[in-house]
Amino acid sequence: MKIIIVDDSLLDRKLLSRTLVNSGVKNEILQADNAEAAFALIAGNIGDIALLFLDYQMPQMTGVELMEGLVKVPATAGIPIVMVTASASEESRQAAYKVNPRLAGYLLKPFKPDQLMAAARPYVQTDA
Amino acid sequence: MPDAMETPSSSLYGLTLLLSAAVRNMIQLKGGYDFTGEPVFVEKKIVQFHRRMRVDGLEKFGARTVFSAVKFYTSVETMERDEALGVLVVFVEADYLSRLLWSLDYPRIDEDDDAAILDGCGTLANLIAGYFVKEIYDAGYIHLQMSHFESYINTAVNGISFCPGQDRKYEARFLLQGDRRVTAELTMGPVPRVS
Repeated sequence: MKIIIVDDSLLDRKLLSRTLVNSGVKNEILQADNAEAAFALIAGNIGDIALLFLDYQMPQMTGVELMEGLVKVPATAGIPIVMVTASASEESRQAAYKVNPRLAGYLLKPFKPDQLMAAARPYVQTDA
Repeated sequence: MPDAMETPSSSLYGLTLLLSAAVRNMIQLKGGYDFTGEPVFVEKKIVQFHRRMRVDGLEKFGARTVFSAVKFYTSVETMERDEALGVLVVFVEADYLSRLLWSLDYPRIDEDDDAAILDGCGTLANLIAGYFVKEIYDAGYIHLQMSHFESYINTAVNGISFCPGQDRKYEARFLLQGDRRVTAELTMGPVPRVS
């Protein structure tokens, strides 16, 4: 199954991807830099998505808005989602959990590898 | 130093202090860099044309400069209408950006690659803005919404949109490893307090 990273920052996508690979994650990793591209990737991989990493602040549509769209559709509602954000406020966290009470994680940038893996490990394939 | 009276300028000064704390938290605590001395704050008049703020990066360091803007909003609704309350612009000398991001555990970037430094500076500005929003909230103000970043090299030819009612901004200059490496500009309307 695949991991999808959605973030308008190429550097953040590289960091996330590199950290997952260096932590022994074996899943194929796909990337999108905006919500529209993310919807296309998700639609093309329905049933084959292990985990979705979603940036909060993106152009056109925020990560929370994208997530709101996903949780309303039965076919995508069950995809595990980890929000990745620079917004360190409790209010942002609450807004994300309000939209998706089953959120798999809420990660603050810049994150440490062990923080990332703590959120990802239940959903991904690793060496160990 | 601004007086103690609550004027629009002094409110902006107070927010600039919170911004300074956010930059310190980001770069010093996360990146392990030590600042050389205290940041320098300078109040400036906003030069605007066609309701956009003139922003020039070259005048900050006298060298190739990359800068990124993140806007702030009082609510999701005002963000959807692009009615910004304020804007933060983070300037970094292009040749220093990769080292700074590396200290924050990011992959190295090619400083000669315009797309890479535009993206890298935006990533940094996004991080600083996130910490700034938290500082503001912890100080008793409402939680501000943040935009995505917009990045430029040397100058923003068409200016940057901002809160049109503002005519002042604060520049905060940060010295790292003995030199001025990072500068931030902030303009912001009055931020409502949590009722």
